[in-house]
Amino acid sequence: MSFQATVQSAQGVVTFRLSGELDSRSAPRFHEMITQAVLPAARRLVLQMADLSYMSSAGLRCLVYAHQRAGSGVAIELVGTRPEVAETIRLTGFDRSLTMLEAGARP
Amino acid sequence: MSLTGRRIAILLESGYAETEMAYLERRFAEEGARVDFLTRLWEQRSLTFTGQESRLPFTVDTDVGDVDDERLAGYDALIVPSGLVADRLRYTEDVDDPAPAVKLLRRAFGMKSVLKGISCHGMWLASPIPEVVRGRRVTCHNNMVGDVRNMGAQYTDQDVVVDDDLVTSRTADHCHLFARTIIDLIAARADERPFRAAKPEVVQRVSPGFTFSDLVAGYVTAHHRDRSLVDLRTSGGDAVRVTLTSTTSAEFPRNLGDPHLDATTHLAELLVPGRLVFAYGIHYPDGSFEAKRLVFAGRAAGEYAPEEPDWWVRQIGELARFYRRAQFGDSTPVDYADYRTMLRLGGDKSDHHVQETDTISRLVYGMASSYLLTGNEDHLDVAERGTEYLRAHMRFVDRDNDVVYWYHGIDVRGCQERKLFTSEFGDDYDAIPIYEQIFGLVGPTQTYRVTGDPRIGDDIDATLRLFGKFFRDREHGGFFSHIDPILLSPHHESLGPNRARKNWHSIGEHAPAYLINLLLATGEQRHADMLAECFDLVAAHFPDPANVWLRERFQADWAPDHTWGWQQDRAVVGHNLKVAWNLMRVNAVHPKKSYRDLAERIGRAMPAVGADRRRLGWYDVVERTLAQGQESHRFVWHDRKAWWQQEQAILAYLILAANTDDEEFLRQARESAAFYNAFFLDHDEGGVYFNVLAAGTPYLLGNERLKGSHSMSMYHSAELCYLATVYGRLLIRGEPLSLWYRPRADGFRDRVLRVAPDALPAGRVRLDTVEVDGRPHAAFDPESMTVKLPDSDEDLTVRVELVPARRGTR
Repeated sequence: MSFQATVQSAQGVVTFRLSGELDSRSAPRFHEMITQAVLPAARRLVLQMADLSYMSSAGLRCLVYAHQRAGSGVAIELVGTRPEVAETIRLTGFDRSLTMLEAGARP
Repeated sequence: MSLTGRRIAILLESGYAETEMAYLERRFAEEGARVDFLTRLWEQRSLTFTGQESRLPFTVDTDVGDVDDERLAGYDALIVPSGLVADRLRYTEDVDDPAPAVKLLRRAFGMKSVLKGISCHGMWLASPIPEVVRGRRVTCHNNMVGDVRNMGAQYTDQDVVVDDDLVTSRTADHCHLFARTIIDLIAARADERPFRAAKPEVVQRVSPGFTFSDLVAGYVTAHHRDRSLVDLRTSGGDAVRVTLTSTTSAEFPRNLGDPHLDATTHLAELLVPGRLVFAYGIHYPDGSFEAKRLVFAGRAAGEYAPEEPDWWVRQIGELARFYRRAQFGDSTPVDYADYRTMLRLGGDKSDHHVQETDTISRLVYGMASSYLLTGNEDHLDVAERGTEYLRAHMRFVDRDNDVVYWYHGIDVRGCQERKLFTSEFGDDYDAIPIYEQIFGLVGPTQTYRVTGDPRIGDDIDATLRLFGKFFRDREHGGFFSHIDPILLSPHHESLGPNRARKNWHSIGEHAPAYLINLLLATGEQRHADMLAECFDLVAAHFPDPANVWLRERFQADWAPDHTWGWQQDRAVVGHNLKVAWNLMRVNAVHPKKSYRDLAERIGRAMPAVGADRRRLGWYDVVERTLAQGQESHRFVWHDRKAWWQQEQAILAYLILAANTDDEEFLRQARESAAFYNAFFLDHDEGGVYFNVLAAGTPYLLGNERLKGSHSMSMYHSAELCYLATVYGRLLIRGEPLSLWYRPRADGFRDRVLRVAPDALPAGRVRLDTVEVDGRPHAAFDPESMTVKLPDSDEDLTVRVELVPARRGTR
């Protein structure tokens, strides 16, 4: 399934809804979206992951890079991440930098 | 009078050719040169020799054994004349030990600045040391032609032949041409000869008309006790007169952890000729220089503290203690959550909460190296926990590409760590520089040598695949310096000035940082091949035929890049020295003339352009080209001296001396080590200083006051201790060396522990004894320096003793 992403931004919270396969071909598009969306005045980045079936290393690099550039104090939450995607994230150590939430939960 | 103030030495013995000797003596004197005659005096005050034609007597009162390096370097030429002189002087009681005159000639061949003039049968003197003339163009008496060809020289059918610093002449009858050639060459070389001991009857006085303080380093030539004056000769050959005052203090060399050792009360006995001393004092407008602080380079004349057997071993132990306490306090085991890259001068932390991968990796390197030398298990524990921390926090496992890359670092402020993926440094911003990936491996690889931890081995291999898949330039060879963080491409436009570039780090830094150590640990041919691949590129592209300094930056197609960032057309002194050092190490793996020639070329050229010949020590960054009217390369920012560049000089000249037996290289190594140990050790707070001013005072402003930063941490200072011990003990002084290893139960998949301490010249070192858990262990191979480990459920403690296979250089 092809990769799709939508983004909403309100009161410093940037929410992405990702679906399909974020592979190395779709990564540049995601990179562009996320760098544009996150940089200005974001406080929290929420990714709705439930419909994302695959995340490539390239996709993760976009996420890690965007988080670094956003500066300190920007929290990342991943909601409803599938186990195989969570394992890819764990192998990069990036799980130490974010909060994994069950789908539907709202802290 | 083209040779005024010049000095020429001529060897003499019975059977000399009277007409030749009379001509040379008169001809050189006519030009204003002073001629000294040298011989072997057999413990007599003087000896009188007779000539071969009319038995004309000739008295000589100087022994070749009294010509030390300094004096030898002061001669513009050393001449071996015709007749039976050479044959008589090559006599030796012990056929395995060359005669004193042969040794003198060998040392002179080690000094390019000293012309060697050999006439007729004089070539006999070179026969025990044919390596000095091998491949060189020479002429000689017809009777000698077969001999010189057997010595490997290239006989040339001319009356006089000049081959660089070697002048040969056919017979005594050609002494007029021989003398003329030598006179012309001395005159032509006058400007470039950096070491000129012949002029110093005139003591140099510095006086700009106001007072200022400065340092001078020199060898004592005279001590006038009645007038409280000391005469020194600097490394550059200048004579300096130093006045001692009632408030002049003096110190013996002091290692980290040692108490202050006052030498003030012993000054009279200590200021003996030949002794290297640093004098810090004040220049007055009347031209006098009054010393306030003297620091000696050794306990006795001709002794150098860093050559004491355990000098560097104690130093690495103290460095490890400093960093352990600063980063982790007294807690056992150490917790890397407490680690901070930014350490203040005294080792305390600031509110900066970044942990950089490379500084942890460098600390790990230092701790593992300390274990290798000292067997201190606490230090190994710090190294292993650091490696684990890097694996858990700094590693990005990329399953799609089957590679590993290392984050720049993490910010640990708050409850969640923030990954710093791309470099945060200005030079490399927004990119993944190969430099950081390379240094991410420095500590884990050194730890791997000790433990054989297979997890470390896997991460190193995965990082090598990263280099091969994403940094390698398949078209023009070598590795690019940067890739972009998203597509991992060296060609991405976001890289800006770092797009499709190569530099010393991307081509050569593999070797010192991890690749040589990885080859030592694994013995795998692919690592030896990569070393050769990288250094073939260094030998091909770094030398600049038109400039003494190497090229350091390149476009993809190897066109030199003189526009990049701060580097422009500038040279980093320490990079030049690092190239020389590592060429000699790679030469030990893959002997190649191109490596050795370039290393020696750099080693001979650098003192004149990169060193401080008056105060000692090595400078930082200079302009590669001289503008019109300039005689010295301009400093780009300052004339400070950085600790890591001193390290490069010490190691480069130690390994050059060990490979060539060249006393001039050994002198450079000693002088460099003397300066480093006199001025870089922080006796108050621990560790070493980043920078000192030209005169040796620590520079403690800005980032240069810190002790943990990306370049400081514990890499260079510990690498210096480790390798100065290895080179000094095994190669220079011919002493044994003990090393410690701690192979894990699952370590080294083939259960072979490789204990070669560095890439050393073949056959110079062998493994003598092995202990496993304190008991003698017989399963080892002395020549390959490998130990067959017993299978074990426990980690093993292995202590090995390596011994030199021949006498040392010194």
